[in-house]
Amino acid sequence: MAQAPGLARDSVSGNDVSGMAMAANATAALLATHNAEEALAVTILMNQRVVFGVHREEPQDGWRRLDLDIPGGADRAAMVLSLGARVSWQHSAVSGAILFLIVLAYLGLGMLSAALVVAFRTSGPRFPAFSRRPPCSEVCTIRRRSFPPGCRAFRW
Amino acid sequence: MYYPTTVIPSWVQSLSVVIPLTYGLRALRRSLLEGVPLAAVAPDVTILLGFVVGSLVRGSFATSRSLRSACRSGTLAPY
Repeated sequence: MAQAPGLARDSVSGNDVSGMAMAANATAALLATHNAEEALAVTILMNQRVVFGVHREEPQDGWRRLDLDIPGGADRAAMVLSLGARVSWQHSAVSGAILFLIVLAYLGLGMLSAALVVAFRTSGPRFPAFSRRPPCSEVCTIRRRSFPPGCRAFRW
Repeated sequence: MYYPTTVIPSWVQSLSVVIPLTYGLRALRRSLLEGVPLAAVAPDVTILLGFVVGSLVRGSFATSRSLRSACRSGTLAPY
């Protein structure tokens, strides 16, 4: 009998474990976005921690294998909901501050990456006109886009 | 909120310690899902704050230095 989409069955008992199935489905959908070619299975620890991995043939100690139909529409947000977690919004101010810190951290990393890009793109002989470092007399302190005669570089 | 780093392979766990998102998401997860106060997530927030200060300082220093170097050599003009 074909398994209904989104339905998971315990490989040991054969029971529908829909409480964990949504979590497993969300994890599998998350994994499927990265490894679509791989035959997917989701293993779940007995204490309901979600673990994903390759297909396990035999149930191991403390493990049960779940055979899944991967739903196409599951998104990552379903992960939180399917784990049965309830969001406590009274700490949303703290969470907002933490989120702001995450953004700031990646802003700094972005600046570091931009600096590397500028350093690599502006170094080396890419163009004949800029193939050598000009002497100080040839560096012009001007605000123009065109080169005056004898000027090889701008200084803003 | 994705998943905790305890469920990923150990070699990936060792990589995750240098990613600021690890500490931020762990603090977010504990704060939003477990409802713990700020003091309980203070270690993760402190590490995240260190990432923020370090990346911003190094990023601004590196950006200004590379821009200054490019302006001085005149190689920024084509861009």
